[in-house]
Amino acid sequence: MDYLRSYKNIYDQNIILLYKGELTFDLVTSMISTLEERLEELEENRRVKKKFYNVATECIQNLYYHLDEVNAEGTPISSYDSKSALVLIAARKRFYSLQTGNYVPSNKTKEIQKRLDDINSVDSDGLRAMYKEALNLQEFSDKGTGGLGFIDIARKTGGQKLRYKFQPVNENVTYFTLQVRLPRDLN
Amino acid sequence: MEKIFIEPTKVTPLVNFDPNEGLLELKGRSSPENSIQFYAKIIEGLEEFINQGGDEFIANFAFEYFNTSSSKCLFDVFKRLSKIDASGKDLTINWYYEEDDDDMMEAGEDYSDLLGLDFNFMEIEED
Repeated sequence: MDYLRSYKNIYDQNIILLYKGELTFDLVTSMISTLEERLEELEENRRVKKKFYNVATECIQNLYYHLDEVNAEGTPISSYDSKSALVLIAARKRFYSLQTGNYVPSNKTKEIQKRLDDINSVDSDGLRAMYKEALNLQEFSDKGTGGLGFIDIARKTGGQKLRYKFQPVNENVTYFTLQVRLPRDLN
Repeated sequence: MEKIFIEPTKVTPLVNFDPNEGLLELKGRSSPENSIQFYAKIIEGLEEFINQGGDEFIANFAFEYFNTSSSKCLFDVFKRLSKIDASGKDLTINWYYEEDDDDMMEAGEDYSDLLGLDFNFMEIEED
């Protein structure tokens, strides 16, 4: 087995963080601190650094709050994997790419997709209005999340569309991948 | 009325709440695991101030970052400030944000607009 080759695949793509596994809140906090230190070296633009911190925190915390929703019984996925997250953050030339992956209950995909499509269909003024409306109307979920996460991410990345994919595993479980792009050329 | 002082951490802001002086200060970053729990005491204290506090209240916000769950809690804080305002007390809200941080400035504008509160927007210069 050519270990060097598999490592090179990772190095060559400018990956600054790659993680697969369960998440605890402390781990999330450490990951964000590590990312912040890396950005100190990689990024000169202070505004981009700050936006990156915002968006990375929201993405990874969001993931953390939603990992326990899947019941993988009767699927080929182990119970550990079903509650695992995948986080892949890379520094490209023109943008930072923040990708997350996790299993979600299939009966939730329509709702998530609708939310993402709604967000992707409006411009920055529309996003701001949507955020304010959600702030004003929506109640907290039992986890303390307020349904604002995706809107906030879209706002802070300056109208970049949220890229996503749903891949069904079976009728109960679907794999959800989200890619967020933060442009590096802010003035 | 009880004072609250909390040192800042990586995920929680500095809190300096002195209801007897009519002062609330929040500064730093806010992305705790449980925002509702973190902000509950402040909100309780503000409720108490509405009924028993003095005639003046100053609230200073100097956030570097807050997550969306904290954002909802802050909205609840502002709702209480709005009650203080409506009760005829003299309310001052100062919203500090770092130079060029349009996102933080807009966040302040959003609260101000949603609740019809006057904010003093103060840009902090970077060294």
